Amino acid sequence: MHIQNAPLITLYILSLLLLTGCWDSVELEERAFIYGVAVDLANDSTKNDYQLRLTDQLVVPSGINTTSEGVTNQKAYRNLSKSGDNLFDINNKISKQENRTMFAEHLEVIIFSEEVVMQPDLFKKSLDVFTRTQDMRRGIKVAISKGKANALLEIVPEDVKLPSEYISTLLENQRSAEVSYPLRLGDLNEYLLMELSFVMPYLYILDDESIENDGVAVFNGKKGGIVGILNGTLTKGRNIITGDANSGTISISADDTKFTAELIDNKSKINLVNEKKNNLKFQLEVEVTGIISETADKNNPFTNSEAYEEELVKKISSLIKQTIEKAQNELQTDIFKINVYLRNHHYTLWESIKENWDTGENYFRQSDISVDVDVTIEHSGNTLYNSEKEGG
Amino acid sequence: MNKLELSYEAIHDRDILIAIPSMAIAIGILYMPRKLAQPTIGLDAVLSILLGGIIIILFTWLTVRLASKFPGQSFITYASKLASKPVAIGITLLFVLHGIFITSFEIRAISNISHLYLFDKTPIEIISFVFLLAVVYAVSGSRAAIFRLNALFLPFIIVAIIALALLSFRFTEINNALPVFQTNLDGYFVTTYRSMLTISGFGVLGYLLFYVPLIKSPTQTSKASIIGVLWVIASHLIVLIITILVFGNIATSNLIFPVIELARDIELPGEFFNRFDSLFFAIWIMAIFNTSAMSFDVAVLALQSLFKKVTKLKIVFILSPIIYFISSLPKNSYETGLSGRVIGYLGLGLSIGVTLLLFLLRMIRGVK
Amino acid sequence: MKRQSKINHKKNEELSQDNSSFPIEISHYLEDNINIIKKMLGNPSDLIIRELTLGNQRKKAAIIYINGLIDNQLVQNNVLKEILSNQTETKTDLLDYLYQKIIAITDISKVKTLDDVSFGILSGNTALYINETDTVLLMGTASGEHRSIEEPQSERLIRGPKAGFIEDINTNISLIRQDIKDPNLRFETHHIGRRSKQKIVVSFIAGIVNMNIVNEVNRRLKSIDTDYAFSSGEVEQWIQDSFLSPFPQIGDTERPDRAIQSLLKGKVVILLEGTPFVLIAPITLVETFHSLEDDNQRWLNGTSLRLLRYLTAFIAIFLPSLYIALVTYHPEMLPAKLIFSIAASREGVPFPAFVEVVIMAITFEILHEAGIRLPKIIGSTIGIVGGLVIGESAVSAGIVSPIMVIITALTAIASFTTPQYSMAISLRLLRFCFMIAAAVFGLYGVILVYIVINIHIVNLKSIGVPYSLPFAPLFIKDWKGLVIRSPLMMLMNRPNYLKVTDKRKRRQTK
Repeated sequence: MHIQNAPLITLYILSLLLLTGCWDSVELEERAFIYGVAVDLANDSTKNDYQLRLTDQLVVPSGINTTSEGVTNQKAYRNLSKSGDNLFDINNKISKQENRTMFAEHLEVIIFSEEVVMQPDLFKKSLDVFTRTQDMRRGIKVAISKGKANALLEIVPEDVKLPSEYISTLLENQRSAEVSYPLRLGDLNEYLLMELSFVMPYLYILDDESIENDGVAVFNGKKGGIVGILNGTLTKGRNIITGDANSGTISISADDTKFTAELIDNKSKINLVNEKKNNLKFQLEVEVTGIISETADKNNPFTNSEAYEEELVKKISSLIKQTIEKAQNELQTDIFKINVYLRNHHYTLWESIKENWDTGENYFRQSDISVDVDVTIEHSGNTLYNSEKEGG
Repeated sequence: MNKLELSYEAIHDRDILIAIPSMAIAIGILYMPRKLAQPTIGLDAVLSILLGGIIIILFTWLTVRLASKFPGQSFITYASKLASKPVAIGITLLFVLHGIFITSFEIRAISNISHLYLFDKTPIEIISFVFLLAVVYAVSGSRAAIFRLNALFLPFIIVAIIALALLSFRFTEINNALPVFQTNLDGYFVTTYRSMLTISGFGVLGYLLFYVPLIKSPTQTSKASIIGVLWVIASHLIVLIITILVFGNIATSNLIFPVIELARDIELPGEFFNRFDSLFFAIWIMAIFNTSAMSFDVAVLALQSLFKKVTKLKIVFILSPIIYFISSLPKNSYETGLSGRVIGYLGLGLSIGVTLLLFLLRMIRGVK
Repeated sequence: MKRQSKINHKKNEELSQDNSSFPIEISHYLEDNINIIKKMLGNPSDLIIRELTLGNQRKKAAIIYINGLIDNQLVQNNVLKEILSNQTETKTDLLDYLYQKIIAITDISKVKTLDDVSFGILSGNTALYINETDTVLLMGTASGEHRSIEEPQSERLIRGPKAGFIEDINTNISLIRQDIKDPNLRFETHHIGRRSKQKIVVSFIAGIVNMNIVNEVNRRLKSIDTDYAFSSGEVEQWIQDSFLSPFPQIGDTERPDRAIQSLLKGKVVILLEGTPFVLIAPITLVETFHSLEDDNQRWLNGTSLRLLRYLTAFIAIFLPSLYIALVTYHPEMLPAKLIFSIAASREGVPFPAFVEVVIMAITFEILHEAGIRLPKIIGSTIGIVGGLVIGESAVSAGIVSPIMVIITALTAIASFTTPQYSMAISLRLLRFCFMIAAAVFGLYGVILVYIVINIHIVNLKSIGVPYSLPFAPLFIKDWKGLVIRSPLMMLMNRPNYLKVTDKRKRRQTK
């Protein structure tokens, strides 16, 4: 009996679905893709009542497509902003200006202005919306801007049509040791949940067509805000300490010696020597491998690489010392992932000190870190002799 | 029209091997890492899975060993011999209820997750309705066909798990595995219990009491079922380890569906498909479909043994509205999860209790 | 399924009532016989009746045949000439004498009923009536006109025999016999068609095939009751397992080598008079994607080609629906750059993606159908008109997006790689189901329809053999020959999923 009715039933159900269905169907050309987001403090925010200003960068697809006939100088993006208390609400307000459905799944980069992140806990609160709503990817990149964040979303270089895309690829470009790894939203979420301190990429506007990624902003997990900025050089020191400096250069220019080494590999290892809470002693071993890429030194880098290595050890050691000092005394924040090391390898000790690691009692500040640097020159480039020798 | 018997319709040991992971891997594994990460530190929950897994293997072995002594008999027949007829009827009815509840739960849960990740406005009622239609279609077919369906879908599920592990491998951080063995005893205890729940698939492994007697010559059934449970344990281990290695213990315990989040984290190489989560999720619908179809089928099978005169299709058509109604009861995803836990613990208790009871009775009375 | 069999049954009863055929004996007198035959066949102009007198007994006799169905030379030289030149005195029964000594034709039989005679004459035999004799000699002189053996039009191969089956069943049988000289090769003959009385031959190799399958095929063939079987396609529809299924449950081929290969796998081949397409049963889903080319090429190439065909089948079914699902429901699955360029290309297209896809898909189906129906020479212009003109101008008119044209073209080309044409049509049909599901529920709908189709497949059987073999029930050892194409030395055994009686296929010689 049921077979006879089956086609009829199928027809009923099908027509029911077809007539009422397609609840969520949104045509592609009716979507507005949010590609970048900037979060600033609104101008009218007072000391105790912060008002945020959110800028959404929406993609205008016809502006991107260069294949269509007639080269248009149409802008490929549209920036919309509004102010308000919390981000989701502001985003909703923005949608009142947009004729298309806002769609955030392709969001590539979120930029917070320095002043937002400086305020304790504001950053953490405003991040919640990005991890909670299900259309946010955990791979979105997060960066801090010097000055207004929304200004960055107006910078269009000659080769890229979308400012957000430019920022995103800029953050990914890791050819210098003076920048931090791109910070993914997922990782950021983990750090915040664990209340760990970490560093964030720091961007500022260079001119109308370029942004520079230089140095890092230091975030203190317990305080819940940015405590300071590390400049490019010190960021390099920090990266060498954590073993992240796998590219970039170190150049030495004293009176008698002048050369540049390119970093190709970097490893570091940290060890806890004693367990006295108020005077923790750490032994840091750093290994750096480099190649000589430019030299005006009297020593032949091919035969006498030890001399170069020695110079580099001196240079790196002082750089590291400088960085540690800055971190311990000025920032008072653990930017070297020592916290992770302690949690993983000295769990009980960590449990007892974690509340006061880089705040309050600040065991981090009181600890003693001794450094041991080892440099290897792998090779000295394609040429054998330096120019000075040839001249003399 | 078809009188040809080439014995393709018989159920073999291998079908049981395939059916076990098909039944047991469903919704539970999607949030299992959260449940296991919460009370533990680092990767310690691996121990709980191993421990819970061994216990489940033990009980599965007992179940299969008991049920395979009565080939060709229905559960109610041999249960009546061992216990008594009223007890057997009572147990059968409990399993019918469990089957109905699990089907409802799975349908509701998949609708909730679809609603969370795939849809915004589509009503949950419609999502679960079309899913139920597919399940009803599967159950109205032959029982052997459902086992064949398991065999068709299981490779997808295994491939999805392996792909999940391989593709998220580059996000893993070995630091997340540390520190080791810092969990207190209480944490191990709770997580062992929880892992028993998901490995047994909310007690669906108890359905073997009904399916194993369908095998005509059960020679390797115990071995096959143990291998089946081992697959389940292995997939749980893979999923747990990779989730914790990527997210770390603390973030894992803060994500509602850590496994789907893991899939969302993956960006496929090759710039053709961007994200893995929709794909993973789509494949997971098959896993949940298998579980729903099997638990629906066991309810039908149990009812068939009680009411021999009623046709299978009639039972299916009576049960489907009930299942749909039950699946629409929870108000939100929290209540769905809660009801799932309650059904799961009751089901696990039922399966283990009945197996032990009948096994002991058989030892005492020596029924053959 | 049940319903169909009920109808069959009912029909059988009706027919047996109004067409009760009890054998009519042949009359004793020649005059009567000739009149009866004339009356029975309506005295057609091509009915030739040559009356003659035999021997010293002066017995009247007649040779009756239908002009055009017989070999005239044969009748003249081996029958008429022999009879007339041997007018010797005989004491014995004249008919026996002629039968044993005179008529020089090998295929000769004695029949006693009018039904046999008329059937014989209509099949191209020549009947010899002798006055006052109750028996008629039927001489096999059939020689219809038929075309010569040509290369088959469907299922082209680069490397493989160029012979194809033709309409004549005897030639087809001989094509199979020529290649298999096994005495176990069996041909069981049935006649179907109440009016056409076509010969239908079930062929199999005893000792390999599972006899259950043969018996089932025979049983189903006997249940057929129809006027005339137009083609093997009609027979297929009579004996298939499920008439609601979109999938072909019985294979067909024009190639003797494919038929032979199937026989050796333990399958049954059904040949029907009047059609060059023979049926192969049972088949499974995966086998419809096999081409003989896989076996002709070395195994790496064969396996790669086979995998390519699975991929194209996937594209042919899923690509348009995935496009709809991804574009209207889940743009997040595609990378930003791709989605932006699709979005840019869709800018200004007036239709939603679903309508766009349906328009293009139906346009393609129309072009495809037109291309087949038209004569070959014009057919190719359809491709040019359709592909270039409609595609190009539709895009430049802004009705469809360029990406849609790419997808339609890719889908179309992909669907042509399926070697079984009947399967290719099914795939095209399924494509539309997926498109509707994708339009309503996105990826969720696609997966649900996929699940439903899988449920259908696991419930589907081909002559009692599950269609989902060798995946489910799992015959993992058969995968090396059925799913991929392993090296020959790994394919020593016949695939076991048909439960063949003789498993060993090749032997390694040292």
